[in-house]
Amino acid sequence: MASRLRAIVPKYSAYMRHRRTMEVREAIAAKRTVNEKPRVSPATPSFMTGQHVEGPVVRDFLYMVGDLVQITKPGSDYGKISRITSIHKDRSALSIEQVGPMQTSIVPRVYWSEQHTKYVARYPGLVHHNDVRLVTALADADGEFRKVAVNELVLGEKYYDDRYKKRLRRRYVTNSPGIAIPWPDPAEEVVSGHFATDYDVARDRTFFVTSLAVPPVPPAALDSLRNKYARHRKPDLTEEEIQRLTPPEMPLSATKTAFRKELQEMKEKKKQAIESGELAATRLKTAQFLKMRMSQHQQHQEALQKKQHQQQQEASG
Amino acid sequence: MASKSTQSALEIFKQLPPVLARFFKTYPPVPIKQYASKPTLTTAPDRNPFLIAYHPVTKKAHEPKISLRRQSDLYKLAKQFGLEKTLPPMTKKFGVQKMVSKKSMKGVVRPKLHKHERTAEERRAKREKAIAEADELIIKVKGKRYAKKTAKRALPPKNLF
Repeated sequence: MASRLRAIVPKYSAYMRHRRTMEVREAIAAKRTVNEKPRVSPATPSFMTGQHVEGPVVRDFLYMVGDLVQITKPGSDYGKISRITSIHKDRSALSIEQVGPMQTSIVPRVYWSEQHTKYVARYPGLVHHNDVRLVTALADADGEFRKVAVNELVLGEKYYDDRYKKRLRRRYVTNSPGIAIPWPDPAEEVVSGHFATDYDVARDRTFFVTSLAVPPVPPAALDSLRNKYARHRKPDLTEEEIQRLTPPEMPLSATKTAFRKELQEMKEKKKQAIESGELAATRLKTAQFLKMRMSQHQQHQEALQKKQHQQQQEASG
Repeated sequence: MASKSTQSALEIFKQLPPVLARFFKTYPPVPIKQYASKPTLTTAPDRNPFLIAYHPVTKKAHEPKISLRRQSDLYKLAKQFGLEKTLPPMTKKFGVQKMVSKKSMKGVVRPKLHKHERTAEERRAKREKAIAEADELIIKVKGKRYAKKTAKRALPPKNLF
């Protein structure tokens, strides 16, 4: 009888198998780090790729919306001149018209505008305020106005600006206090259309705060705003508070009127007893009676003690 | 102005413990004022502060003005000064009276015992009866031979000499 042949297969334990797979994985990863750059999807938000701007918050900003600036950071946009569209003081950064870095982010379809065709939107990113310098028109010796880039600016004394309707600081070119560079004209207010209603007006006309007692959010909507079944939530009003806040039903019930009458009567009775001297008399009587009773009790106790003492003496002697 | 004698009399309220003094101020002792020994209306002049009272309009029972715990506190305090009998009548009992009025428990009066203790007499009677009737039973099973044996056993013993 021919015995059946068996294939010799090394028996790996589960641990060994795991270790082997980990080794392979690590090797692949090491190879990738050496040869390849980590692939960045265009949909990756900019704050994850390290492109976003961060820095200490600058209190007195040297630029305003409407200023012309030149980019001084080396790169593809170096030397380009454009206008500031918005200022982000919390990031000490500006966003500039058309030039400057672009940022990407994912925009849900609900927020798409007319030109949108993709979920990934690109919009002008932020530029740090140290990466730009101001461009302004200054009069030459001949009296001709020429575009000049100012390397450094300094803020000076305060004055009231009629255009902005507030106190501003004058800005000067550093080390040349004679050259003051005026702030740009403020952006014109957006005038709503003929048929449009102003935001403030619309808000005023549609929302009325009638009373402090009536909440602005209707009570039926509260359950949708917060967890109705929250374990640790206290009741809005305690029973005592509800009782205190609800006015009594008028006219008062028979029991309540009777109760009030009773209270009044009791008060009057007490008052009468005090005024007539009845209370004082009974009190004096009680005091005398108690004194008498207590003295009797004391005598009785003493007599008992004496008797006991005598009995003990007789027993011993 | 109160005279000296009244002042000295009133000083007893300062000597007594404040709880007791306050009580006697509001509820004068028994011979000076009489209190009902049964629940009355809340408006009754002889309303007992130790008992419940019924409201004349609502007919509802009002709780006693002084709770049972306070009652016993007052009683124990008053007893120290020999004033326990001047308190209004109360349902609560103390000392020997309390012990006497207590209903003793069923199990104490007639203990249940273990089952073997309870059925001992019955079982003994049954056993004795069975022993007495044992011969008859055996005769029934074994027949006449055993009956003769039993008859022989009943006879007086034969004397050999």
